[in-house]
Amino acid sequence: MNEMILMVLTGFAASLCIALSKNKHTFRNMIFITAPFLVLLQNITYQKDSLVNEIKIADFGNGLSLAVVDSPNMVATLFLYVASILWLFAAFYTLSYIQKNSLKKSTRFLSLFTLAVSSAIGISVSANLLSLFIFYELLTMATWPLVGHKENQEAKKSARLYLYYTLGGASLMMLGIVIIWKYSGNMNFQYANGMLQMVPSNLQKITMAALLLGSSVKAAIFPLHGWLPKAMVAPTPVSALLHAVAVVKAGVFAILIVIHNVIGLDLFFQSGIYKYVLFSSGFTIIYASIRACGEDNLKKRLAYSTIAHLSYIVYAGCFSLLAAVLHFLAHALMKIVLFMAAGIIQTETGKKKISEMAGIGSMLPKTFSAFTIMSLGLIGLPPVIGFVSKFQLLGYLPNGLSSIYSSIFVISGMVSAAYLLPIVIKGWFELSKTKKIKESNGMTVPILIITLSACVLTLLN
Amino acid sequence: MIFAIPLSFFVGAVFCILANKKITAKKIAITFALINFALCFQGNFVNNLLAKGSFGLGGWTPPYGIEFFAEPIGLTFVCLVSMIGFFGLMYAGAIPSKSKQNNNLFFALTLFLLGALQAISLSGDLFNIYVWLELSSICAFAIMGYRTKEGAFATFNYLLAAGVAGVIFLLGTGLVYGASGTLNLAQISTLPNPGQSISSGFALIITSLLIKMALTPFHFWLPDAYGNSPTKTLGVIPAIVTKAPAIILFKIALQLHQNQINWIAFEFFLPLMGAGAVIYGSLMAVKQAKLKKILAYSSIAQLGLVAIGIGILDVKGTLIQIIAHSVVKFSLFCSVGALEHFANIKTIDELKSTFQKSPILSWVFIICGFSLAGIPPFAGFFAKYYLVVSSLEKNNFFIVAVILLSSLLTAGYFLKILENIVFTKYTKKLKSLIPKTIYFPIVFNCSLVIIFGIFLPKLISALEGLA
Amino acid sequence: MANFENCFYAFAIAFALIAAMPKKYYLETPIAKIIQILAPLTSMIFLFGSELKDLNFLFAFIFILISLLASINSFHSKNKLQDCSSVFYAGSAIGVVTSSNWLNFVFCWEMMLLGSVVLILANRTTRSLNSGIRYFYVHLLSGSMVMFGVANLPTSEFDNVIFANVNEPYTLMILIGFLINAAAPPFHSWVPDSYPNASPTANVYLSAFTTKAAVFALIKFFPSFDPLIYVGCFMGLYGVTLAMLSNNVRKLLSCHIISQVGYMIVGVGIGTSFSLDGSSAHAFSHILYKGLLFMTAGALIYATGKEKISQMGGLARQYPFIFWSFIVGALSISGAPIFNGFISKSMIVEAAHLLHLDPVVKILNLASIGTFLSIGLKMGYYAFLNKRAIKVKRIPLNMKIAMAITSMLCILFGLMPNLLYEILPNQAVIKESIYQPWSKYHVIHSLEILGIAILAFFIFKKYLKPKDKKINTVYIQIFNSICNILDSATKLLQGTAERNKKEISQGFKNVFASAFKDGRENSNEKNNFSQNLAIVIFLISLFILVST
Repeated sequence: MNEMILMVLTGFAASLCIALSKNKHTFRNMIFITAPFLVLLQNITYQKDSLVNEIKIADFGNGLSLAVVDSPNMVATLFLYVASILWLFAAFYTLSYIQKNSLKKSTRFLSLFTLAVSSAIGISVSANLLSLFIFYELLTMATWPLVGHKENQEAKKSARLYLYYTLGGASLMMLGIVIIWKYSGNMNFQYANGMLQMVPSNLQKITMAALLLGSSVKAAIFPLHGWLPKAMVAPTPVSALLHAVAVVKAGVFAILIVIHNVIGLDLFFQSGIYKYVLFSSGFTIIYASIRACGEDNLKKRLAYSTIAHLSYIVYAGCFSLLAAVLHFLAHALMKIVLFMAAGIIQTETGKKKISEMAGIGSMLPKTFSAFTIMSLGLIGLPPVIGFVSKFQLLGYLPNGLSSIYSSIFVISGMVSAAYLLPIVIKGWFELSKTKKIKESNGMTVPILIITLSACVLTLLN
Repeated sequence: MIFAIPLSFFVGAVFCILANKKITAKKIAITFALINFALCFQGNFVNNLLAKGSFGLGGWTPPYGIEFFAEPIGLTFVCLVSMIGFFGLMYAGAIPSKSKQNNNLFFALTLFLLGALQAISLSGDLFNIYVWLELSSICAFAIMGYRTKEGAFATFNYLLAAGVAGVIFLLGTGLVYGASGTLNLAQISTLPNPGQSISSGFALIITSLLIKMALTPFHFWLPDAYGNSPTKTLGVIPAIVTKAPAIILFKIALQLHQNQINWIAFEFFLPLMGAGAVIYGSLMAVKQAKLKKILAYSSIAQLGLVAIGIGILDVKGTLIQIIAHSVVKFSLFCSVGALEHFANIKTIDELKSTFQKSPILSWVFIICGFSLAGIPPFAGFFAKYYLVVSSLEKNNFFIVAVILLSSLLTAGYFLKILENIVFTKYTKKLKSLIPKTIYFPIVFNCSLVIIFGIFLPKLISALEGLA
Repeated sequence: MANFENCFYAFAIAFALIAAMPKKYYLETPIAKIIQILAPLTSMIFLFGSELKDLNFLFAFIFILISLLASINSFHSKNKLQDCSSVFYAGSAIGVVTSSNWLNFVFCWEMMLLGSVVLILANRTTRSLNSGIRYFYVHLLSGSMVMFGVANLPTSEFDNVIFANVNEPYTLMILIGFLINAAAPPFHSWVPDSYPNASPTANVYLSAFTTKAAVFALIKFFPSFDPLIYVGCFMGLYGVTLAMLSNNVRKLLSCHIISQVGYMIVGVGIGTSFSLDGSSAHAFSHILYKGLLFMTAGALIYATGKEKISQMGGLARQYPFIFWSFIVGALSISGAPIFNGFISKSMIVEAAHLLHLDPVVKILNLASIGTFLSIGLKMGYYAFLNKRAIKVKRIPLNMKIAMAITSMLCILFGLMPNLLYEILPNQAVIKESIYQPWSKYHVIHSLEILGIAILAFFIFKKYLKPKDKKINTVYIQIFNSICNILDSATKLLQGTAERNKKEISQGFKNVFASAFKDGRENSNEKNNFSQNLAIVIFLISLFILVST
């Protein structure tokens, strides 16, 4: 069996094993940790066979197939690496979190978690639109019970909302896929720019709109972003890996692929669709940034910040893949640390609201320093990787554009500071009377490693 | 030799009546179902499906004789009936009967019903169709009302509707016969000069088929019938009985759509009615509390999709939808019946304890739910896919929107079920009272949902171009 | 990227070492402090061994020098955060002036922001917290503007780039970014707001780097850009006026920075190689004497525990050391002969004179008068000479050493100007020989200025007496109002979102009648509006769908 297929299927197999393991917790935990190791290993040792283009997992006849690509392009490779590496860290974090919080129904949780990340990996190596769609929906299904894991009324409502949004997006995407398949017969990503040319021009706009809208649900572009803040009721590992890295990044990945491989940049600009994309993502950036300033719940604030940064990536992706990909990587790293830190704060001190978080810095120094460093990165300050991505982002915006579009980034950088800085300052510089609490290593170690690597990456550029 | 297939069921029915305590009716029924199954799926089964051949009963050729006409769509349905029949019988056998009477008559009637359904799809002329249709309806009433009080109420509406439909069908047949002199579909389709009466005749025929199919606005009998039918029948009736009229309609449409019928009207109305069914069924399903009623309305919605497929003359989509829906609804109805009979779970709220009582059935719900919503890689997805493709070809964007919306609407009513199953508080594990024999048909069927999701499109594509 | 000069790395390593030091170790041993002193020394060695020349060399040299002196000065303080951040700050400033490409430049520019903010915040008072936050935002704006402008540059040439005009938006942004850091009005308010709130020993660091790095950038990229002359002139006068009105001793000195930087900017604006040299020389001298003045102010605060001049007095008798150091600094800043201000300040004025920009000359002279008035006389007289004695506390030895060394340097450069002239970028003085520091004209001119100032002081003594009154700056008001606007915008957005969500979901609930209540009927007459709205929306979308 081809190595790429093996890599994709490892995750699914692991998920199944975990699901069947019932009460043997040690065994289950071991599988949970080894799965990302294996996937990462396969990822690193993967040799590209440049002759073969796509490898079919299942053939549905008529040109439809579930296939993975043999040599992923830049965006796909990056997504693959990000997903697999962060999965490893998140695995350690999750196990610690479960143990510390005595999370109920942990077997179901872990199995679905693995399934979700495996689907994300499948998305990254899909070879055609249909495979992308299949893995996309698999991701939805796997994450839906995770969102509602706590099983109280609020969780159920958020899960319901999540499913509605994503199913709506799925329907739209299906429309786009069907139209493309009908007219071009071939949905393979390797044949870039060819797909949409064959669609008659009256349908082209509809197809583009359908595909873009469908994937913007997961990418949380206004006005389809409503599910993300609500989905924060999920336990933090879910928020950290899935809603900061896997699910939303899958959405952004889909948009990038759609713009660059399916629609093609020429058609994108010619047809004028780019104006809508730029407008909505620009609006999202500002809206979400401002909204973030008003939230008191830490995770909700981070959720809005995620929404804003995803729109950065989409915005940049309209012009240059390189800048988008850089911010993709940078944001994934930074956000996962921030969310993990929020989880640690909640686990150790039980605090969810920022107004209660005075003096956290002295209570949980390691965690909070990681949080601080990564917030600085999100604002765009060196030596964290966020600086590099922001710089490149600004550089790749075309000079001919009116400065309104470009000044969005400057303004939003300031607003990011407005919502991140108070947390940092409150944590470090406001005095509180509580004592220092011992931090558990399980959760902090992954964070610190990620933080450091982010800094190192900057220097290496 | 095509006729051997339904014949096996008929023979079995006869034997069932003669069954005694040792060789119970159940065993006979299942044996004959197996025989039927083997006959259908023998050897080079795909090639069999592609076979086209006609065969006159008793050697009498048309237009006087009764012709059995085998063609791919019909044969597909035959195989479907045999498969579902087999599983349905297993399921019915696993449900212990409440009173002490023997089940001979029950099984005999079921076998007869199945045979009749198969014979319908092999028929080539109108009268034949009528006969078998009415026979199947009678068997269905009998089974549904079989010595249970709730069944009796359920049957009454069905009886009315079927009766009316039958009369209309006869009327239409009469008109057609009078105008063309023959009842054979193939011959009718080659008539050079169709007149007004043939068109109106077929209009009546089609209407009656729609009533039997429970398409909006003729659906009023379905919720009560399915909602109140006894548990034993749940395996056989809901899944395929309403599919037979659909298949007939499809065949008629495909064969006659050029000339005879005022197809423009039907091209316009059928998809609209189908769309209406989708929306109405889903919306009404949201309000229901009883599980069986929800599934009944859901059937209305899914049948709406079938109607849309027929209306736009899409072979692949309709076939996949029929097969997928039969399989899915079979699993769902059987699970619901099992839960109601053994675990006393009748409404959505009571579903909360499902996961403890029977994890397997919970998984069945989850998988079937996702298939209904049209999520890949389950079977329902490809049905919707091809339907959308065909509606795009006809440039009918409203239908496209409805098809795409259907997954959202399905989620609307199914989500509550799924939520109650998945998100339940962890309590002490309750004993599961559901016997293992029930599981086998359900689980097997459910796995078919997944398997069909992967293999069916290819299969059906092989039948392409056979309109 | 990542080819920093070795000078930078010395500081980076020092930062890492101090930051990683456990607290106990830090408090009990002087190792951290020693590292803090060693870092500039090592860096200096690297500097002389490197291939930097001209402008880079000059600025790097003076930055390293002042960080050495400042670290000696802060030897006694036990604030780990302050030590780390000051090393970070110094290192990044040196990175700015030794950078060889744009990426390095912007990278270090932003890191300067980080270092200085934490340095201010390290004081851990409420006021420093608030002003630190404001500082952060202002400088973030500057950094973003620079980053934005740099990112949009058409070429990535770094070394010989001169922006002659600001036609392109990105050039304008870069200019504004630099000007914010250089404290040009209207972006100057952060200086008097944040510098007085840092800890006294941190002030020496703070005053030296940010503004001078901005001046470096202006010299490098915007020479002979004419509007800068006017900006500089305005700054010169404005700073001095603010200083004269200040009561807090550090605020006075901080406002004064604005004035002196104004001088440098005028030099940049004039643009001849002579005037550019003048700016560089003035930056050099300014760092030295301003550092000295801040050191004395820090010593005063340490000794008396008070920050306002109105609360001090008669300290000359008790602290002669501080007094004499202060005299050296005050005279340097005013351009008295023998001290280094004399040799550098007049270069700019002379350059203006050579180009016949007479109004500029007059304004600059006026600013000089004001300088001596505010610092030398106001502060000197009221803090040291006015008869009022307060409780004493000995100042630590390290401060004395630092002040002594700095004073000596001031005098050294004042007496041997060629030492400075040789390292000036354009070597204008030596080559062109149009300027002689010790010419009779200059000496007399500077003594004139001093004399007029003394006269003015005694005439207007009543008005110049420091009073303890509070001035609520406009800057803080603007900042607070921006925060309020942001706040209300957020609340508005939140409110609308909540309300709309409720209405829309209510509408949906009614359309799918009682869908979310299990099986029960739910008739809502109240929500007819939402229901109608939902229906209308649906119809409209249908219409759109149909018409495509």
